Amino acid sequence: MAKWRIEVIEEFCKGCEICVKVCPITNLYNAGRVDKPVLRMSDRFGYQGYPVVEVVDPSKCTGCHLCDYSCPDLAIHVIKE
Amino acid sequence: MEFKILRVDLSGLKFREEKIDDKTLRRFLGGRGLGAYLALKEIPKGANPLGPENKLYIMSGPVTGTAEGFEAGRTHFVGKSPLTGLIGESNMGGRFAPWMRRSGYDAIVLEGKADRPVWISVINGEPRFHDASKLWGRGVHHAEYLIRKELGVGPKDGGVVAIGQAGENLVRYASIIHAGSRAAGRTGLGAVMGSKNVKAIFVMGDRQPEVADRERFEKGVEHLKEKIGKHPIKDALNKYGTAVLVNIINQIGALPTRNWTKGTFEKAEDISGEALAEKYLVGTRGCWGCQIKCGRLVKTDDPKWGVPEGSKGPEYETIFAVGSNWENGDLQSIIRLNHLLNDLGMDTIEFGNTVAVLMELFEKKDQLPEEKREELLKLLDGIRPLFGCPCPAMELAYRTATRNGIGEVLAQGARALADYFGCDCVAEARKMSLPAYDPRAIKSMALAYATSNRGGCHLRAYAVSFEVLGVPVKTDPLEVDPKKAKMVKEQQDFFASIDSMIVCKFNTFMTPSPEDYVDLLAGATGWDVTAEEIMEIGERIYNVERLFNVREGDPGDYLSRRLVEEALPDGPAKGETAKKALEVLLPAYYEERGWVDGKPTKETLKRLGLEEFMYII
Ligand code: SF4
Ligand code: SF4
Ligand code: SF4
Repeated sequence: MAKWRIEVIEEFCKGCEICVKVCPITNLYNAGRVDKPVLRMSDRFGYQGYPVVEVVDPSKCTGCHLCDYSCPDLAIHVIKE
Repeated sequence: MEFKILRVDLSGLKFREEKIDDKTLRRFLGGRGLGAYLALKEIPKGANPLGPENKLYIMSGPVTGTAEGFEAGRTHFVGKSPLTGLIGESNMGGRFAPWMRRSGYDAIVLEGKADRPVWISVINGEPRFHDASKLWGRGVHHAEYLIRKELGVGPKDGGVVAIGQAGENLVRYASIIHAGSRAAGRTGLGAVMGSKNVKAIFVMGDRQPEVADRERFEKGVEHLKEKIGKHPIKDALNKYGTAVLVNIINQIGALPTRNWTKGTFEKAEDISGEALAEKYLVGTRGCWGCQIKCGRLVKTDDPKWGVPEGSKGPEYETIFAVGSNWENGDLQSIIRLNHLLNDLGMDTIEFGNTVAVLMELFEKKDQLPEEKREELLKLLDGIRPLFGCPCPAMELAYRTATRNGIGEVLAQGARALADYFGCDCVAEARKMSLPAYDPRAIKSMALAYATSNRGGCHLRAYAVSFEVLGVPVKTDPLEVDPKKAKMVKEQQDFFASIDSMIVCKFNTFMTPSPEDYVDLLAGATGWDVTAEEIMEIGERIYNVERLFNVREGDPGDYLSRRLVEEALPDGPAKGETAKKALEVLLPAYYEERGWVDGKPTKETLKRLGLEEFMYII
C-alpha cells in the first residue's frame, strides 16, 4: 500500500480546522472506529496566532487529498512517499 | 544612458558585470527589445530550451521605476521557449523591476546550469548565491516566505521572483511568479529557470534610477498621468479588473467556450467582473507606482474553494481558461484554481486549454482507436474530466506540476496532448494555446494571433481595442478589411516599444499613440527621440524576434484547424471561421512589413539596421 507523508506549513496555517473536519480517518476516529486520528488541532500556536493542525498517525492516511485540496491557505500537503 | 547587466554564470557559480553602450540601447531601448536582441546574438542556433546553452534575460527598461502614476513597474523576461522552441518572452506586473534597478542592475541574465538548487539575492550591488534545497518542492508562496525569513526582510521590502513545482519539474508552460500572483505566465520561462536549478531571485537596494533631463521627463510624466487619470477605462479597470471583459466579449460572441466549440457562454454573467466585484472582492491593488490598480484582492465563501482572504483574484484570461472554456460557471472554483496554479507556478491559459482538450478527448473517447482509449483511461487513473465540472481540476493541476500519471502528458501543453491522442481539437498558433478572444468573431485577432512571434497571444497586438472597445477608433469586428493589417502591424510595433521602455500596456488604452511617450522617453534617456523613432524601434524589435524564429525553423503564420475550418455555431458570429481573415489580411500584412512568406527581406533588414543578421535569411 502507498505511504503518505503529510507536511504542515505551520507559518501558513490559520487553524480553521477545515482539514481536520474533512479527513475521513479522523472522522472514523471521532466515531470510535479507529484508535488514532490522522489529523487533529494541536495546542501549539502558529505564526498567525492560531492553534495549528498536527499529524498524529500518518500511517492511516489514505491519500484521498481531501485535506490539502480544501485547505484555503495551501498550508497542508499530502505527498506520496 | 547607462544600462548595467548582471551576468550570472550558474555552471561556475560566478557573477560578471556588463554595460550596454548607449548606441545599442537606443536601437532596442531595454526590456523586451534588448532582451530579444541579446537572445538572438547569444543563444546558439538549435539550443535545447531546457539545456545550459539557453539563457534567461530578466529585464527592466529606461523608464522602469523612475516615477509614479504612469505604470512603470513591470518586468520583462526573454529566453528560448520550451513550449514553442521559438522566441519566448513574457511581461510581468508587480514591483520586481523597480527593485532590481534599485539593487544596482538594470537586468539579470541567467546562464549555464547550477549542479544543485540555488537561489540568488542581489542587495545594493552585491549578488550572492544561496542553497535552495529547503525551498525546492515548495509552492511560490512558501518559497517567498522562507526567503524573507532567512534574510530578515519584511513583506514590502525588495522583490522576489520564484518558480513553483511546475518550473522545477520542467512543465513546458511553467510560469515565473512574483508576490504570489504576478506572473510571467506564458511561453514556459519558468521551466527555463527550473532547468538551471534556480528557485528564486531576491532584489533590494536604494540606488535611484537616473533620469537624464528632469524637466522634460516631468513634463512627459504629467502628460501621461493626466490623460490616464481622466479616462473612463481607468475606472472600469479599477472597478472590475480585466474581468470587465467577460460580458463585453460574450456579447459579441467571442468568448471561447467548451474548448473553442462555442462563442457564447450562458453562465458568463456568473463569472463576470461584475459578479466578482459584487460577491468576492475585498480590495484592489496596483503594480509599482500605478494609478489604475487593476489587481483584484478577493475572498471566497465556499469551503471547497477556499483561498486566504485578500489573496489575488483571477484575470479575464484565467476566467476564460478555467471557466467558460470548461463550461464552468462556478466563480469560486476559478478563484481557487487561480490561486493554486499561481502557487504551483503554471500558466493558467495553457493549463486551461490543455484540460479543455482533455475534456473533449474524454467525451469523445469512444471515437479514439482502442489502444489510445485504453491508454487515456489508464493514465487518468479514475479521474473524470467533464465539461461543466471543475472538481477534478485540482487533482489535474497537482498531477501536471509533478508530472504524475496523466500529468506527464498534460505537462507538454494542449497541442502535444491533442497530437498524442490523434485528435485535432486544439486552438493554437505556433504551438501556444490561444487566449480569450475567438478570432472567428474578431477578425483582426486572427491576424494578431497568427503573426505573434511568441505564438498564440493577445498582447503582441491587442486588436480588441479597436475592434471592440473603440480605441483609438471603432471598427466592425466581423469585417475583413485589408486596412486592418496596417493597424495590427502598427500596434505590434508600438507595443514592442512599450514593452521595452517598459510601461504597462493597459495605459495605452488611454494613451494610444507614440506621441504620448516622446517626452517621457527623451527625458529619461536624454535622447532626442521622436514618435517615428519609437515606432521604428518597435518594428526593429519585431523583426529581431521574427529572425529568431526563422533561425529556429519557424512553423509560419497559421491558426490551427479548428479555427479555420469549424464555424462558430452560436452568437452574433454564427457561421464564421477565421479562414477568410487570414487569406485577406496576411498578404496585406506582409506587404506592410516588407516580408515575403513571413520572412523579412534583405531590404527590410537594411532599412532597420539589422545587417548583422542577414545570414539568417
Ligand atoms: S492546515 Fe489549512 S485547513 Fe488545516 S487548519 Fe490549517 S489552515 Fe485550516
Ligand atoms: S489525505 Fe485524506 S486521509 Fe490523508 S490526512 Fe488528508 S484527508 Fe486525511
Ligand atoms: S494597470 Fe494593472 S497591470 Fe498595469 S501596472 Fe496597473 S495594476 Fe499593474
